[in-house]
Amino acid sequence: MEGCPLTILLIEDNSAHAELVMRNFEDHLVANKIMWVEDGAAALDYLFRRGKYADDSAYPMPQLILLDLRLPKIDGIEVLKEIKRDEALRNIPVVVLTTSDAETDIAKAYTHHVNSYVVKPVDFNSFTKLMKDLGLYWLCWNRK
Amino acid sequence: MNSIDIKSIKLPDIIDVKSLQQMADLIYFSAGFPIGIIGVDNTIYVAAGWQDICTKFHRVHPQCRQLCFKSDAFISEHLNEEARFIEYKCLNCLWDMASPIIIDGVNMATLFLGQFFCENDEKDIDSFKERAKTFGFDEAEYLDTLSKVPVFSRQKVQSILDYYKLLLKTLVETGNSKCRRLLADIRLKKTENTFFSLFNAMNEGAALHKIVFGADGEAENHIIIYINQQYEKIIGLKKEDVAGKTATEVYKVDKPPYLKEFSSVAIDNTTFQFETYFAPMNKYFSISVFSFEPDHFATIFFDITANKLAELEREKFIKELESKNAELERFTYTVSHDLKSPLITIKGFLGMLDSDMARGDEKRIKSDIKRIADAADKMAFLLDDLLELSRIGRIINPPKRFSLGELISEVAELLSSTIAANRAAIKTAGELPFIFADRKRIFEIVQNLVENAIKFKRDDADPVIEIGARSSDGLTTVYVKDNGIGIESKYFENVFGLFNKLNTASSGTGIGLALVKRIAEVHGGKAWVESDGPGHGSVFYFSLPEIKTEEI
Repeated sequence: MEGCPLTILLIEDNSAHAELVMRNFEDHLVANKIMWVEDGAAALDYLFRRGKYADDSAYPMPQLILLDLRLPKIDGIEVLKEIKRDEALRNIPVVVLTTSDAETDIAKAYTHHVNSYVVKPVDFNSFTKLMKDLGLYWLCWNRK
Repeated sequence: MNSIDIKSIKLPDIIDVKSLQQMADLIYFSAGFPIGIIGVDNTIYVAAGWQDICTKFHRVHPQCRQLCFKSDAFISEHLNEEARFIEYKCLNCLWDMASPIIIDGVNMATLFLGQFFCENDEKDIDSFKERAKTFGFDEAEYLDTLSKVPVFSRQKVQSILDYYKLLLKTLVETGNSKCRRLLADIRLKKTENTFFSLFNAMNEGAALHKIVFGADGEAENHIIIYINQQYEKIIGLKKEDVAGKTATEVYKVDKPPYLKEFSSVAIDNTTFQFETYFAPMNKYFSISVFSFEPDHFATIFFDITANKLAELEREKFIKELESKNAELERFTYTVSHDLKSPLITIKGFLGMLDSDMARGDEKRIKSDIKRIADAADKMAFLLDDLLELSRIGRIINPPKRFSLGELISEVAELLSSTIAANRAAIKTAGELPFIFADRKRIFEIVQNLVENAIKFKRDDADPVIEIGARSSDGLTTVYVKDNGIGIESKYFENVFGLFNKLNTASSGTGIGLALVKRIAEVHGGKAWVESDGPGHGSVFYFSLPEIKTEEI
């Protein structure tokens, strides 16, 4: 998996879940760098290089965005809309990673051009496998 | 139907019988010709020159009278319908001539000319003497009356007959047209009666109107011409109170109701049907409008207030149900999402713990355990909160009247250590009202809002919290104003959502404002927030229906 110069932006308000995701990625050497923001506003600031996120070297553009839906300040769907509205950002694959398997949430996400919708598995082994597969698929197998 | 109608018409209804009598008298006086007009029901309409020999002798004696009756029967059997006279010598040997008076095909009466003798009659005195003997008449008297019976030449009789034929022809002609007019009147009356009984028997109120035009030629009012009984019942006004009056007078309004709709129907001869709320009576009506002659219109209406109110009530219920359903849906969604989340954490870190223990990574082991414990705690909090929230919907303590001021003091006391630690100041503004509600729940609201005001204080200013109240439109609105971090307007709704937190770092599960909102709603009120944005503080409001002291 070496040779994939990779940054993932993880947008997740639950720090425990964020840690789970990040540790899984680290354990499986999926990405070089995982950037974590806790709310929708910070995510948009990051992607639009506002405020402290203006520094390109410290906060590189991600190749994959993992987006939770229920976020403080600006919710996940709003973040998704902003990303897909922007010509430069819309090419970055966005995977919704959430606890919600509500049909309305899934439909809404696809309406706003999400690239994939994934529900966090409760089972640890499934969670681990999902993280591994996600990273592999979007960062290595998927051609752009 | 025609025959029934015409039978009710009598000769005097059509022909001036008085004049006929005068004419008969004059003819008798001048020409000595006796005449009678007798209705089919034997009513005598005209009588002139009737002979004593008939009236005092022949028609008086029981046996002799039978001969008269036989003669009468013969005449009536042989009366033809072409108004031709039949000439007949009666069984008592006198001449009688008769013609039916047929008007509009109905035999109304018979014209009799007689009795008399003709000049060329063989006046057989002996047969009359014989008759006097047979029936026991006084011969002298009988012969005297006999001598008075007029005698006419055949030519004279013919002239009289011709005269009466012409008279009859004229009578029948005028009679026919008069009769038709009468029948038309009867039919009209009948139609009118049918219309009015229908009009009055209707379940709907009905009224006939005429448009009133202003000097500019524009419709400006309408006059009520006629109303039915149901109108009186529904509107509660009597015929005499409305007939001939303008709509503005009748309904005591400045502008005639529905003038535009009504005048367009009356002028353009269209029809129109609508449902409406009629403010002067506080009722709903369904009204049909149509024009029955130019510039006139009729309204047929019925009171649909009960239906309408039921409909509105139903709509309200449906809306309430929909909002409850939506709330329930949100609730289920929130609960499943929020309870699943700590479960993922627990399971995830249990998995991590396995590998960390295998590696002997003590530091990680510790942090894994903390993550698990925190998530378990979080779950416990969430469950407690959920229980509390559901309890608010189910259990409401009996409402009591209490002073808001006292309640605020108690909240301040309860939170005194937090207030002191944050150097917060709580003050009240103006006079605080009494509130009629579940005191324990209102206490929770105030406590929650004060705690929030302190929790979300600005770094550069000590919290100043002002609590006040105002009353309007039957609602008491209480506000809790702070000088804290403020809220962007786009989050005004969001902050009240279950487990919604604007700030992940802040303590608590995010149930506080959801509770505030729920308590206010259970009381029939609302909760909302206003803020000029970040850094400008917030004002949280909750409203409760005001209950007047007398009702308590």
